[in-house]
Amino acid sequence: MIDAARDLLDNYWVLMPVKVLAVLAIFLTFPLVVGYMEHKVMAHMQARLGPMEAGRFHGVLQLVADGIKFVQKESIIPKAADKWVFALAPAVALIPAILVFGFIPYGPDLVPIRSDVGLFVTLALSSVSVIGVLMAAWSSANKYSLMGGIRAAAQLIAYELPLVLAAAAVAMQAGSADLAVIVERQGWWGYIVGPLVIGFFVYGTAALAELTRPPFDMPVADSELVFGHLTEYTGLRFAFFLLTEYAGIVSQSAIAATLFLGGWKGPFLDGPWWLAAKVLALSFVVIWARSTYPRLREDQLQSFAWLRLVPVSLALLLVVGFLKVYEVGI
Amino acid sequence: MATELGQQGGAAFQAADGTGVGIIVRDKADRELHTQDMTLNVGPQHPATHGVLRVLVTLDGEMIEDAQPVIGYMHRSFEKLAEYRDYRQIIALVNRHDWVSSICNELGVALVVERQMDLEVPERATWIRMLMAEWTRVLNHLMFVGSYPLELGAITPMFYAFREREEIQALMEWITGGRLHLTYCRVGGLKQDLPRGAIQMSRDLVPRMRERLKEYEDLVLGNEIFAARTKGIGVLPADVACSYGVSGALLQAAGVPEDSRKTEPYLFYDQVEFDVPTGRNGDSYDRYATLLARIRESLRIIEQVNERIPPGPVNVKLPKVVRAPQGHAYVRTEAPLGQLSYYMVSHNEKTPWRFKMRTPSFNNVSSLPYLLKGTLLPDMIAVMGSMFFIVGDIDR
Amino acid sequence: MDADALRDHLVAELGDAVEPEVSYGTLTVTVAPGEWRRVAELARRGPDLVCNFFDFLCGVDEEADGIAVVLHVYSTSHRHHLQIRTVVPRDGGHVPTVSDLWAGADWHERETAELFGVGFDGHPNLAKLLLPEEFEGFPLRKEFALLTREAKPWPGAKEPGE
Repeated sequence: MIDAARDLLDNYWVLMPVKVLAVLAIFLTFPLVVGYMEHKVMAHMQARLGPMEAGRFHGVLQLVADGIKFVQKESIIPKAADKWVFALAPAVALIPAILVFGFIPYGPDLVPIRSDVGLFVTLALSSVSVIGVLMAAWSSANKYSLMGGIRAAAQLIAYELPLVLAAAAVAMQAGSADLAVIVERQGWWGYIVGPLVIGFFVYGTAALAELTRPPFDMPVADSELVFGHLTEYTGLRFAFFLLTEYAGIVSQSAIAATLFLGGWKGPFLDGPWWLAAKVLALSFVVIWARSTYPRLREDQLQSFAWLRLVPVSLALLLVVGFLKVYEVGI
Repeated sequence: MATELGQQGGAAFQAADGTGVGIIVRDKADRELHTQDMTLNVGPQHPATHGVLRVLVTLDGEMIEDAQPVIGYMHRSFEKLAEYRDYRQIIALVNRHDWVSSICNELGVALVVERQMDLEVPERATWIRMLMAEWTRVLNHLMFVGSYPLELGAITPMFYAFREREEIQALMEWITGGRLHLTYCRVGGLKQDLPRGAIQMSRDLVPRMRERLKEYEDLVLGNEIFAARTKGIGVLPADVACSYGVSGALLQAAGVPEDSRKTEPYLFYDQVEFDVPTGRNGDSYDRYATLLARIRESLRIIEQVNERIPPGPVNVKLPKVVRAPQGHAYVRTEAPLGQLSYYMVSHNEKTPWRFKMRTPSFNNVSSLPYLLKGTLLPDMIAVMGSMFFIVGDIDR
Repeated sequence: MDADALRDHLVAELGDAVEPEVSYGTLTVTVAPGEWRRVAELARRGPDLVCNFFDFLCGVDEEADGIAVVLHVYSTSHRHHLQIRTVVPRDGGHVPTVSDLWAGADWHERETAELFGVGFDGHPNLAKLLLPEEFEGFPLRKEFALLTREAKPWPGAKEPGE
């Protein structure tokens, strides 16, 4: 019976839909869980309750209810907007965010798409979303949107570098850019024991900036730019952008957990649940930062990237390379 | 649009304090490339303007070249309306220009009418007026203590400030029956005496507020990003502040210890101990710190007033028709947002001849063009939030 | 200086040009429109006056006499108030601006100009401030009727003041 199932799964045309469904299932559940977590965690940090009604128990179905609401809303395209680009932008932002989930190693043999350069594919994909943001900003024909988009682009350029450098340090240490191999070469404690812990913090900060999450949320800074590139969006298209944001949190947390925290490995009983736990923990930190910090100013963010993070990550690369060449074990 | 973006991309980008990283594009002749300015309408419907204030901003990149506040969207001509109302009715009118500190506005009217009619207010009423005015001040300041970090992107303090406000609101509601437009002051005294347990409630509230205030000082003032965003931003020197007639926490943050409760005491402010907090640099950070310090001083006053309210009547018997004698009077009070003065001209009629309201926000906001010139767009929010204004108080 | 000492000082300084009056503790000096600027400058720069704090500037309708313009300034160092008042004719009345002496006077003069129809010579931008650009009339003058009272009688049982 099991053998029969195994044979069946060996068939590409059977395996492929299974993989696609699995990735879709992950994509549709985790961002919602993180979205719900954001509602509740922030609420409790702010001395309030958050959603309590939808789904009877502590508002568990709040995001589902929100989704239904968004579907019902009128989808408005401003008269002066570049209609095609405006309509396409949410998709351009959303699809790469889905694709990233295909490259994450969920378990010893659970890698939907295995690639020798998986690390760089995921990083490249996660920055494609910004093009969607730029498209939205440009096509909205709104000055606030435009400024938000320009800020998002500037932020991406500044933070892509430390992000990739920190990831490169991991790849150098592991001797591979294949995410599955990177996890296998780590102990369950990951790479945060050793010099790469600096890489973890650099990566975390840069990822926060890439996700435009507080304290780096200037592109959508609601008190300055109304809502940045999202100002003119309504209904389902707006919901897609929101989903992209939560999917981004999940995928960036997953990549960080894979690179630095040992992925699916745990002190006992290795498996996807460890990755899930790590992703949720990292997402919690992302939400925590939102309810704690005010936002930086655009130029403070730029100088922080170029004057602090880039030199630190370059030095890290040097140190890791040195240790690797002289075989001082980490 | 396309050319506009292209030119924006080459704009010099530098912070006011010179720390910004940026590119200054020069052509072959080493001249800075000409960039086209963008005009941005901030408001009247914008999240940072707390209502309907509009600022017309001329931007070079994100640098503000010129900012002109456009006001009047909420102008209700209270000064004209007051001329059609009895002296006692004005109280219900003025408590809504600054809608978060109604008692302090009512107080000014009561004082100016009493001064003209030469009325002696019972001692108990005066002490209770002080108690209410100081709680109103705390209430008002808490509003801005919460909303200013919100404008800088920190959401949390707002909720905590409102938790605190709710407790004070409960006290106000118990005493006056209202939450927003309390209409508690009357010419010659108060609407009614304190209900049972009100003083005890006020006594219990003081230590609780003081404890919470410490949290704000630690969590907001101690936050590095908050300091980075507000220190050295929107510096208003003392002489400029005076020349604009800027008052309240803004003037005190610039280092001028001007507070009419201290310099020209009204009510019984000369009988209680308190200090006028001052800042050193007059920047946004100092303004916020001064605001917190002012709450602390208000709590000190409340603590003393709680113990000093004597028994007695809270009202004087007024004649059937209230007429202020011919003449003009000026009364200056320290409202939560700054100096609130009323100038009243009477012609011995049932209604005032002219009723001038000098509201603090009007003068404070008129200094915005001075403060905003040469700052960055994000700093504009950091500056405007620290002006602590209420739009109704600007437009009247 | 208290109001009386301030009055004596100003009378000594300006002589007949000012007509002082102390009302409820506040000194008001009434001057001719031609003297407006000179007295304002003295109030701002006079070494014993130094009224550096701008309080308010407003109009008062004096019916047949014209429109009074009242300027109230304060000294944060000497802690005294001074109210300067002048009366200009109803039609085309104007006084020199003081917005270069006190920056805060800028908006107050714009407000007075639109609400009372008084001109301020030398003001950098005397555009409407509170009212819409196309508004006609000067709302705070007595002849400008409050329309709600014209259209509908006072909604209370008794008239104000009864």
